[in-house]
Amino acid sequence: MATTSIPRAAVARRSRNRQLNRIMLAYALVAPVVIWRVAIAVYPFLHTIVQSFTNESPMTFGPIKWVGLRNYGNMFQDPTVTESLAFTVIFTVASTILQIIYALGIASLLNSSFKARSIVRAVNLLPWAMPTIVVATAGQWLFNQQFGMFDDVWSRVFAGARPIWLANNDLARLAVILLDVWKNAPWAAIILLAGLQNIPSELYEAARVDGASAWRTFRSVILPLLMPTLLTLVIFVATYRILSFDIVYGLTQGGPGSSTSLLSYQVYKVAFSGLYYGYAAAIACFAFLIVLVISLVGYAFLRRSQNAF
Amino acid sequence: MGLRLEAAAAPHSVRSQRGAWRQRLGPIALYVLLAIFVVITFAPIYWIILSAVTPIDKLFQVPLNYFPSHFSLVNFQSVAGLVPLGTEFLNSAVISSASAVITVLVCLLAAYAFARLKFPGSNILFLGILLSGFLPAVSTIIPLFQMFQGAGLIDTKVGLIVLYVNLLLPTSVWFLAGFVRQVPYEMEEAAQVDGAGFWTILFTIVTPVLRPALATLFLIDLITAWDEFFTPLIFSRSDATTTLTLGITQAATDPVHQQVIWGFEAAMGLIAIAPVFILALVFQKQIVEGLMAGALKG
Repeated sequence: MATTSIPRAAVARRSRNRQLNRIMLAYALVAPVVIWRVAIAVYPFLHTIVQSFTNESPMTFGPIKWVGLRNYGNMFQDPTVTESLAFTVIFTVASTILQIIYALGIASLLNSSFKARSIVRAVNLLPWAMPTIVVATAGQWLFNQQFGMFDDVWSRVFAGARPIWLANNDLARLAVILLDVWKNAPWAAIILLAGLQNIPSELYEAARVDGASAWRTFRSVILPLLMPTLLTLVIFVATYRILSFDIVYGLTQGGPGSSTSLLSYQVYKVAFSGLYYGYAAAIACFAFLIVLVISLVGYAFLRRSQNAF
Repeated sequence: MGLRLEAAAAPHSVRSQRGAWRQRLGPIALYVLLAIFVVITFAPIYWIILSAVTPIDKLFQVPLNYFPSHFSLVNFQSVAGLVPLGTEFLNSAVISSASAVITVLVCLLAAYAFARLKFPGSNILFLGILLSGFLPAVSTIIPLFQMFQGAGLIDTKVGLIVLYVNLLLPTSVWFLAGFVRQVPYEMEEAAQVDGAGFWTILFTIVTPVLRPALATLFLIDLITAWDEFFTPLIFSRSDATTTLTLGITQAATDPVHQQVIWGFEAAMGLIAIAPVFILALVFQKQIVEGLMAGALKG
């Protein structure tokens, strides 16, 4: 007994050591990514929450004071913030809906068989590959009244009508949304294309044999199967919209007034032009809260649609 | 009797006629829609290219001139006189490629650990990294700015690379972990039996199988980093770190007339989009498949 138990214990110890080594190795391997994210994203985020309850600013000398919820209270009485909040909601809802619908159209086009498919797919990739700031800067000139291409086409279609796109609150908002859809729908289309290609082609065949119309096939066969992809995509598209910055910086600088000033742009202005760190932090935290709520609601829908099968 | 037969036959013939129409109409409608899509997508890009290679007085005519009838490089020459174009191009290239390389390397290590090695807390860490990707950049930017000020990293390439890598990490880890899981485990077991160590297995067995995925991830990260604007806007202060994306917003002002010249902006825009367009067109298949794979892992 004793003679056999000693080697067994040694083997167990050695395998336990190997197990421990593997765990240490695993921690060493994930350490760079984890440390990077904690130091450059999680810690600054927590610090932002703390800052949002203070009057911190690089302009004030002396100790930073706690102001409780005052920043948050001021936010809702500040017309520039409430206006930018309103536009952020409009922009997120309108751009997300338009983008998803347009992307569904592109994806079903790209999914059908035709000649020169790879050329069309390549064209679809171009807006995705471009820097948003280039798109936004070009947008200033596309919508230019008199020499803008978009404006020119518009006036040809609508018999000489030349609206002043970027000087009118509503039209400037529309311009931001249209340009955003143009830039980002191709990416959404690629994601939806992946979803479409995951649907077995026998299902299309079966629907066709049963004599279902194209619309009926889409609604009863494709849409339910595409739902998980679609909902995941909506979460991503909507949260990215809330945090959009480049498009407004390049196209309208938040104007006219602050009618197109998205929350991210507002934070940037308050923090780096106004130098009100505490106040900007509160607006930033509020932006995060909106992202959180949208993600949670989207996730709940996603779970429900996955449970439906 | 004959009447009734006719009545019964009529709907059928109408339907088959409509079916024939639809069959003929289908492809035509498809090509019309495709043409509309291509025009909508390409028109603004064409406008940028045309504006870049046309002198502004030849471009802005009434009615607008849509044809490249006055090809000239004058806009590029003027911009090159106003802006350190070469430096900015180099900054963009160095910062984005270094960020992409570092991201792919650290993500390969982490993805292997997450996909293959069981360790306490692995699920929570993996999910945490993923969810931390949802933290808005603006919700971290003020403390980051203060941290970087304290560390003397404002207006340095190293500082920008640290920030860019941070942006690329969450989706990249997620992407690669999915691919590591697909590598057949038997190969690694066989190597283990032969006495191969961990690093040997990772670099001689796993990495070669993953090469296409690593290349795709590098491309997507490279393009994403090249396009980044918000980070240099906050952290660049001089020519030493100004990227093309930032340069385009600063440079286009004509010092004589004190106004923004569209031709200059278009020329800079074309320089900024040319490299990513070439990458996107040459590696179209890999990028599309990569984006799709990233989506499906959800």
